[in-house]
Amino acid sequence: MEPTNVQLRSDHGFEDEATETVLSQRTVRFRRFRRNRLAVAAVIVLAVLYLVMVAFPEFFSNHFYQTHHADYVYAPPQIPRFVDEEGTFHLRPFVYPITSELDMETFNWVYTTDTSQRNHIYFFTRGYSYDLLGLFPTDIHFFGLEDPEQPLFLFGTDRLGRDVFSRILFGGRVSLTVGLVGVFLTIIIGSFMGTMSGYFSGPIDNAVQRLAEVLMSFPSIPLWAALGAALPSGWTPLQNFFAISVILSLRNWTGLARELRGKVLSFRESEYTLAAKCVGASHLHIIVRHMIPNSMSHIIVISTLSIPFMILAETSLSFLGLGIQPPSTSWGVLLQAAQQVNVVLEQPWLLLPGIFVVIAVLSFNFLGDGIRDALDPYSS
Amino acid sequence: MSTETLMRVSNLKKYFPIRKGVLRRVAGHVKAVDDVSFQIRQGETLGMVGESGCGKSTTGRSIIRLIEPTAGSVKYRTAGQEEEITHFNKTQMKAFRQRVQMVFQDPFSSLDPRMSVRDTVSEPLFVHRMGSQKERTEQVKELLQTVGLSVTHLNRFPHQFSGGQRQRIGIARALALRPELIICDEAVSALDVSVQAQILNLLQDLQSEFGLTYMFIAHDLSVIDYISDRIVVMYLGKIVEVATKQQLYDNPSHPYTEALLGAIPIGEKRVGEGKRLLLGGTVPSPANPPPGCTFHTRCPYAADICRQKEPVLESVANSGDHQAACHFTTELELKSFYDFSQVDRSGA
Repeated sequence: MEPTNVQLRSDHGFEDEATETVLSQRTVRFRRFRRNRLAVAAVIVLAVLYLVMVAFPEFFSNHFYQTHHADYVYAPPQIPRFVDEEGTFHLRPFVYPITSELDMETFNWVYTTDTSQRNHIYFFTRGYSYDLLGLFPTDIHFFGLEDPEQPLFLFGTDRLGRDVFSRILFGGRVSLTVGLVGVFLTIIIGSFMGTMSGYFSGPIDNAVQRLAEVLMSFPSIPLWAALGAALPSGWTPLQNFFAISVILSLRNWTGLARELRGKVLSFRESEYTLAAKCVGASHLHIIVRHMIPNSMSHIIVISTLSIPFMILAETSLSFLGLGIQPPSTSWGVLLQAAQQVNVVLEQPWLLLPGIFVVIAVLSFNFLGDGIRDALDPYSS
Repeated sequence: MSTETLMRVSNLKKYFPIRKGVLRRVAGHVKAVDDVSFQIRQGETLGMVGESGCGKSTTGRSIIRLIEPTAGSVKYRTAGQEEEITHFNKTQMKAFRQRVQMVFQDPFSSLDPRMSVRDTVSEPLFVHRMGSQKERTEQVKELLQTVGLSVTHLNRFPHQFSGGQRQRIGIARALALRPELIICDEAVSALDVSVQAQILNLLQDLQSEFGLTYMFIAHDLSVIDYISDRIVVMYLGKIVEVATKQQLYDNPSHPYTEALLGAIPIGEKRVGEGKRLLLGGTVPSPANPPPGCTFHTRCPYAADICRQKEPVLESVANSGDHQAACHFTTELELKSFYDFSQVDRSGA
């Protein structure tokens, strides 16, 4: 086909753009994403979190998260220092050792810092033995004291004398993986059901919507309690929680499915759908190429909003005895220990897991925003 | 232009059920298209005109089964053989879709806002598994140039274009499969008048370049006049007149056509015989069409027979090309477009 003279009659204003290079869509989207600083920062933060907490928590923690230190109950955080009491600068960071004493009047442990002695922090030291990535037995840790028996509690300890820092790392392993399985499943099921329901209407729509109504009318707490009783008792707490989050997502998809149904109903009636039918496109093609991409920004927003919900829902599940049970841990479990007023006054370091929840949740939200904007053709 | 028939539509009907009550029982039908027969000839532009809701678009969509017709037959000539489209199975239908394409009315909703121009125009090729991705992109580039767009627009999105440019994208998409027949469903009615002319010229150029046949649906007789060879006038789901452009403008044979001609804006003050003929009343509901001739409620010449007997579409005088559905075709002296064009040129 040769270009015809009709080009002369085109809507003016193309010639000056002829030099513009043609970028592929993927490049444009990637660039648009990279321009969003918050989203890029979120990717980096999430990468670090996953690397440290999901892949190598054993390597980055200096104490095993289940080890009880009976002499160090509710020990406050030991802050690494470079400058000692005399004002001398040391290139290698150090902590002062602490000793505990029971106050016989209040029955609280009182800690005194021994400033006469410096315990220097070394990197790649030997500590407790573990399997790196579950494969390679080793005892090398990222940091630690020369004497692993000496206390080094960066974030303090809890009521059983367990290192809060290590517990946050190991808790993150659960919260950042198993917790997200539920979100992922919810999104998949919700998108599928919602799109089917909106696109095919008629009996399929009716069936899906009635099913959603039935599921929505179940009271959640009794349902969870019943499910908790129904799960086989031989399972580990982690398996239990995995099962619960899968079951939760079997109920939680309803909201997303309803919202998507409404959207797809309107997309289905648009002329571009008719145009796709006119060229002979199959239903699958129309759903995959038109319905889902148009619903994508909504799906992304819902997923980023449900991640914090899932992390926090785990807390209430644990409360009912359905979530992660000791000795396993998760951010939700750790925060449960901080749900008392006196913690704020006496052991504020137990609130530190909350900061990690906030960081993770915000990162997921920024990442979601970034992806949504990058996919949005209307953004410049 | 040959007189070979490309598509033969006979007794086409499309009734939409009206459902009522909790049980959604069918309480009646909207007779959007009611017993319509016409032919599209190879290489011609068939204009279809009528006011909103008269069933033009439904007809256009029914004949290519974008909407399943309720009854009737649509025959399409393939390699000298007429084939019944309404009996096609899925595979045959998909093959048929390559032959007939459509250009839509709304340049804003007819392009997926999430799809780049490349994806939109190559979609038909993708659906029919034509060529590799690279070859498809090459084709899209050619098509864009053919419709007067630039290759640099490849990765842009619909919202970055004007209405006229979007309509060009829609035309490029319709051309991608190299169809024989293109149904333009109000293809220019959403555009500015100046852009309308550009698009109409483009369509005409494409017609001569690719030997296309058009079925052009519009509610604007001046647009129809510009592009059509033959014109079908519809009223309330029925065809009231079929004629060549010349016959229709010179010698309308149905009172409704006369009224339409009288309503074409001419931009100057009308005098004497040129006074517009204004129809009273509104279009009756297609769910409950009046008995007899459906136009009798508004027809200035209506007589008793019109209220009782439905007129059939018959040839006017000796001309086989000219058909009208009126009891008084021969008796009435209807005004032509030229009668309506008598304007006051004395004072300026």
